[in-house]
Amino acid sequence: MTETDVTLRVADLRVDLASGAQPVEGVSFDVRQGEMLGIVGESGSGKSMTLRAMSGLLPHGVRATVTGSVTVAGTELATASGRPPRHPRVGDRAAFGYVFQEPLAALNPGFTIRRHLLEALRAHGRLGDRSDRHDRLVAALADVRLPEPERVLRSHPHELSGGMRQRVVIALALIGRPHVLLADEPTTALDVTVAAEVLDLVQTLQREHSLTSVLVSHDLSLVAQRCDRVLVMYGGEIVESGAAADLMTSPQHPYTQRLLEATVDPFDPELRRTPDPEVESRAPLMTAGGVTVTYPARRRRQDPVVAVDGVDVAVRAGEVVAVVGESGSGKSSMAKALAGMQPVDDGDVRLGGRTVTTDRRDRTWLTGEVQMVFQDPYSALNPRMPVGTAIQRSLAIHQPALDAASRREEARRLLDDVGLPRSFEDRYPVELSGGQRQRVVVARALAAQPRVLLADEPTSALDVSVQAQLLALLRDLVDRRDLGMLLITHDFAAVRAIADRVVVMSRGRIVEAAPIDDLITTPTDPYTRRLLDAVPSARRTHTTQEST
Amino acid sequence: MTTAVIRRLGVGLLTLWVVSVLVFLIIHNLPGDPISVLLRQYATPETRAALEALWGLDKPLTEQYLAWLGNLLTGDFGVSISSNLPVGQILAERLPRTLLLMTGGLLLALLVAIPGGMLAASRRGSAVDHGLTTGSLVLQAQPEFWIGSLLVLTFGVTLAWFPTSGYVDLADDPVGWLRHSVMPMLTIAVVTTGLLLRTVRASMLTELQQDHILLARSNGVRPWRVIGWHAGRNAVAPTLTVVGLQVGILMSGAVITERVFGYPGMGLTLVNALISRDYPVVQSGILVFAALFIVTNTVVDVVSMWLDPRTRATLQGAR
Repeated sequence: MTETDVTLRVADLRVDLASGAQPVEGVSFDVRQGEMLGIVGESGSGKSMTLRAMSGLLPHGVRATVTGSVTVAGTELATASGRPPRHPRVGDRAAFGYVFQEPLAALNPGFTIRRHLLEALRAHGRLGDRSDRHDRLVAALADVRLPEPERVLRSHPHELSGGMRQRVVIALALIGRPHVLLADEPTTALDVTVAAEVLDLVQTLQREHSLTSVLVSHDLSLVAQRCDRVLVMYGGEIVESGAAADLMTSPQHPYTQRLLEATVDPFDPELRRTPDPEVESRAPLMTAGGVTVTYPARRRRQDPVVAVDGVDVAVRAGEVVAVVGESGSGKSSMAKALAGMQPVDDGDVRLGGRTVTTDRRDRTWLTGEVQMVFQDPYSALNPRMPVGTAIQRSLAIHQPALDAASRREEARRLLDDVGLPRSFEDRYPVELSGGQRQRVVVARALAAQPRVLLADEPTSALDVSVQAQLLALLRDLVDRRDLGMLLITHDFAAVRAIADRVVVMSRGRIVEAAPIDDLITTPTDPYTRRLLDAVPSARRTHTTQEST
Repeated sequence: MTTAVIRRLGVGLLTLWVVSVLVFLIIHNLPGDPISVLLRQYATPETRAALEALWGLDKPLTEQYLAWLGNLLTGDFGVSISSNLPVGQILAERLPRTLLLMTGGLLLALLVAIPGGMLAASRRGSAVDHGLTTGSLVLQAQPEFWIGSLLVLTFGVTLAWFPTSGYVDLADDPVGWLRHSVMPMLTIAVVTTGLLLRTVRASMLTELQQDHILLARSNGVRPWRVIGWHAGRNAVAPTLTVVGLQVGILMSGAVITERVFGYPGMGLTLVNALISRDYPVVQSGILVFAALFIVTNTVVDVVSMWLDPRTRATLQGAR
């Protein structure tokens, strides 16, 4: 690598927070012209902070000292003493363009897309002539392949889809003609097919604009698939770096090895699940027949929204059935209907010979049979209640025969069951990590002695290594307690890890239902195939590379 | 008009009706009555009976209430017991004075609170921020009569810049009106600035934490433009809601302030009417204050909905 090839050089970057913490402890790396560098790490690894610090974008109100040097296209941005300058420029181009994780939050809800673009143009002193301004705005949107740019210009962010919003954010980042495009988890908030499109777009733009880019993500498969080289960060330091392919096949650092081990590749043939004929012969525990859920029209003269349209699902004791779909597919409405929290307009949900209704009088029976594991363990627990008490509360409702002492003992046993030390009973949720909290949520659900667990995206708020552990726990509980489990998710890795059968939903209907192995290897429906194609998988990429 | 606005106005009317009942019941159940206030020791059973018959005070309460309400609906506010003037005329004369006082005070307060709150938020945790927030807390804790008296003492007596009390009509002598109105407006401004500044600061802090602020910064928008325009625009709505609620506090503030400065607005009128148990004036005065409060807050709600493009659609949807 010759010196002139290097577009971005970061040397000994450190961030010292006023609180004494050091989220970034001496990070150094080079990115060559036209290269896409990946940075992988879990939450708290310092990967986002590295991007923020080098581009002068520390969050508002964070007091920190940034040291080290950042060189873009041969020009040093930061001196050893202070923060990098706000919005550094090199020549007449911006040093960095930034793409954020959640495009809805990253766009100002009060501004139209036109105003966003105008603000960016103004900031770069490129407002230019009024006469061709409109054409330039349209061109900026066409550049990121946005259809109907005229309509998009007039829209507010909430009127666009997630993928369109992220394209707008990319268009905004490109207005300063940056040397380096920094993308911080740019697809985490997007559906898998949309995510693939957005990343394809970034790679196309990178070629067209001869950009250099840095892609930060928690998703090892995604980074390995898209990037040339990958850095692995842990505890504010780079623990390993290398070519993406090498990293995936022979990781050197123990942390990378652990991360790789926890990363489920849905296309890994070793993950085949052998069906248990005994379980398969059982009669269904919970069945949904022709379930239809509609929501009333939001405005007059609009048709009501059919969220779920005649869906059949059944789950047996001892098996995990996954309901997979993208946002808007109706999977969450289906989950609500199954839990008796959403009236069903047609069809019925039956459980143990009874029909599930939203009737309040059936609530105690129903919650004794079906328990939920929620997506966000941070808000699913009362922050003012020790976790032991939370479990005991559930016990008091569902096992009223127990006295206080045996409730306490039972709560401790449940902590054992979910792999938490008994001493945790006096801790408050804030003292627990995300994965530990989710275990408490599971323990609380088990306290009701349910026959069915309904898990709605139980792992999407967790780090990769924690996800794997939680999924293993859930599978283990299903097997040991003969529970039926419905796993509602968009994540094929989670499905591959624990599900026996999969139901793929799109636009409120089931497009395909099959045992997991069949679905992965021989998907029949075109939508399922598209969904699977969009799943980042290093393994699949490698096989296609080998075959070509 | 949209269904959302109509629904709000409907709730407002219902609230007004409840207020009318409550005011009526409370004032009529207070110890003392207008006749004893008026006649004092000269009240004889005969004159009392004659006056009660004249003003309809001998009839059952429900009948009195219905008569008052019926007249109200035809725009007749009744006649003041103590001054014998039509209440409508009193309101028309006094209410605008109080409204001007409140508006002036509020504008003064906003003039300080908006830039102050933005400055404090943008320099969160700095000496400027601490100074401004502590200062607002101190101001918020001052009662109107105390601030008013201080102002009178300093600028009225010691420095003799402004008259200590009294009033000249705006139409007759604008400069004189301003000289008489500055100190009452300042009093109102001082006690409202604190809360408003802290509200602006809080809404700005929420906005400044948003990702879209980072995006604006990453696109190179200048810091003051980010604060004043990108964040400031979105911080308007929550601030506006508090301003709407402040109107109620402003009204009670005006009552006390007008008393301190002998300013003949609606507040002073209400206090005097209450002392003399002038039932028609008290009832109508309070009802008008309540109506003002409800209308202001409805307007504020609608404007807030309009300011946010996400809720603007519901306003326009059923046009």
